[in-house]
Amino acid sequence: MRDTYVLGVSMTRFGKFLDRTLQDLAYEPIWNVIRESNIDPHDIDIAFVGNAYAGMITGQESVRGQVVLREAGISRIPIINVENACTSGSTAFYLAHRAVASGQSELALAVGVEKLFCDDTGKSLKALATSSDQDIEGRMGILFAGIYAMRVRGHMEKYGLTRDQLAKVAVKNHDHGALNPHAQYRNRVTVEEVLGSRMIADPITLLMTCPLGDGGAAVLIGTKEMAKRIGKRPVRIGSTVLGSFGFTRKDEPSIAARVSKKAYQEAEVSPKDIQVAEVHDAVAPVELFLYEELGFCGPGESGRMIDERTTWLGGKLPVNTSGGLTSKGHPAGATGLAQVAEIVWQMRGEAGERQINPAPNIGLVENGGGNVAGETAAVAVHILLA
Amino acid sequence: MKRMDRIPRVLVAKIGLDGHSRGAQVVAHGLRDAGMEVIYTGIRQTPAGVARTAIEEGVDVIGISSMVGAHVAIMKKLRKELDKLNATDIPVILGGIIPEEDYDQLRVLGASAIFPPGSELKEMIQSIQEMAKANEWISEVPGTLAGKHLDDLHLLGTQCDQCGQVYFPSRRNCPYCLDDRLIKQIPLSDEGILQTFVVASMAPPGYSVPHAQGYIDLSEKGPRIFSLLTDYGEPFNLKIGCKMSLKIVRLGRNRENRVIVGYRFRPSKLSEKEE
Repeated sequence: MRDTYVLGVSMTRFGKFLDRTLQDLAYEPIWNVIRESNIDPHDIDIAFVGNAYAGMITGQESVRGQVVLREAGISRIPIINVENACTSGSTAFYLAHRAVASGQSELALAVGVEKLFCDDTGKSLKALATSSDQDIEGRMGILFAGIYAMRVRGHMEKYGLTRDQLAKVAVKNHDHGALNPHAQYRNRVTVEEVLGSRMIADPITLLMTCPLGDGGAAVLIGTKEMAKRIGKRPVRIGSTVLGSFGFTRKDEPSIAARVSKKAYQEAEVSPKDIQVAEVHDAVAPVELFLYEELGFCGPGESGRMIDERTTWLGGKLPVNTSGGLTSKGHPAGATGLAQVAEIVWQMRGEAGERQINPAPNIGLVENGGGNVAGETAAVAVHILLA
Repeated sequence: MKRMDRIPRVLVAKIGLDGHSRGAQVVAHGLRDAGMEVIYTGIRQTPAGVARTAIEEGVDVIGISSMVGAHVAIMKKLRKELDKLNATDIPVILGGIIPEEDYDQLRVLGASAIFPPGSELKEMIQSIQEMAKANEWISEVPGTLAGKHLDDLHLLGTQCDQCGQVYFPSRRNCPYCLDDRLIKQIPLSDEGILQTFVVASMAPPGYSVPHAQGYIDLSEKGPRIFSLLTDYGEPFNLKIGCKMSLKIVRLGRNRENRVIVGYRFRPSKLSEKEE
């Protein structure tokens, strides 16, 4: 396997765009990334298009990638349609990396795009609910917000996490999102506002949850030579690991811990080396478990991490400088690539008002999706090195 | 007699050229008067036609009347036709002039009951009701419940004898050993300990609010199971670590008029107080 590099990244602003189609949301980041990467678009020799829910929202159940790339003008090359719930974008990234790493491709395009807003919110929620086993969990009455709430409650009981600490994660991510022009929400909130907002699934309140969203993101992956030609700081993919749910026994590590362990090994770094991270805060408090599962701190220490502002901009390990899913938004299929975009921008010093100084050299992305047999259905972890 | 939760459907048929329909008609009337739904085909039916009708009508039991000694041949052919349609689970009962020395052979061929001349209608009714009881209910989530009848259901799990792991809902192999040779279905405990829970103010489509769900570790060496929670009174009655008991709930009926049943858990202490 040869080294692969992220040449360029781009994303639309996330938000509610009832007048924009899937094709339109993909067009902008695809062409931005082509121009930015200083490559001839004729040289793109494979494309992976991640999307989760268009089949239910717009009816475009198959050939979504071809439909999206038709508008962008990219044809003839292999176009692979990728669906892995909220991990679709990261899965496209994983596949694009492997295509180039194995030598099968020279220049691979990964696209993630999603439209969750339509004229019928019930339809959007129904589509999201399909990210579990419809014959089993679907019929058991499983509720995603409830699954998160149960984990948070278990953790509060075991380690004494407080409601204030849960709220602080949402406050932090909204603080970061306020600095990000791509974010769906750019307002700051206070701990009191978060705790005082509508209760969704105790202890999860409305301001701790991510919104529905529309948006697109794209990443180009190529060789070392291409990365050098751009004239920007080269960003190498240290590792990208994709894993799936397990029938995890009580004494075994959970999926995010398993997948990240492998990612650290492949990239030959340790959790202590990470200087910036984008993680899947579908509800803000989940970020706290992720600190522990990704090894940023020991079991039960995440509450202290948020209290000491370690993961705030300006802290030792800023997490979700983009605003995370909570504030930047979560158009499922686009999320994984938008997370990669944020890390690359931070590494290249292109993150504007939310830039970490000095620019970080080692960053991590964690992206999860779906729920099967009591565990997240798919988790991807990427480690980027500059 | 206990009221039936579901009206059994019975196909009464005569196969071949045997025209002696009086017995079949008496039985058909008797079953109808007992509250069953009877589909009577009349005489001169083919085994293939009877098998197809049984499936199309969704019957619980097929009753065949034979008076002229063709019962073994008929049973063989009917069995073959049912097999073709993957429907050998529909019980077949025989009535008419059937010598006792043929009983063993007929049972091997799949006859669930045999009623010679002089049989009481009452016996027949009881026998059909028992057979239909297995079809009285259907689980909301496949592979989660088992039992002889509606009032005697328990959680169904799968145990792998190679590694000892227990799974819920029941499944076809062990995902650890990746083997299905030492797998067996086992009844699970109806009591467990609440590991974590939520009382949500929103619910998936079709469920009411508040929507309470939890994870329960069954007290034996059982799996951690996901369950909706019920009969907890107020949310403060739910506590991590509290003892929970299984409750089977009836959720309505499906198109075949089967009772749809689901499993829920409730705090053990509260349920004792209420009852």
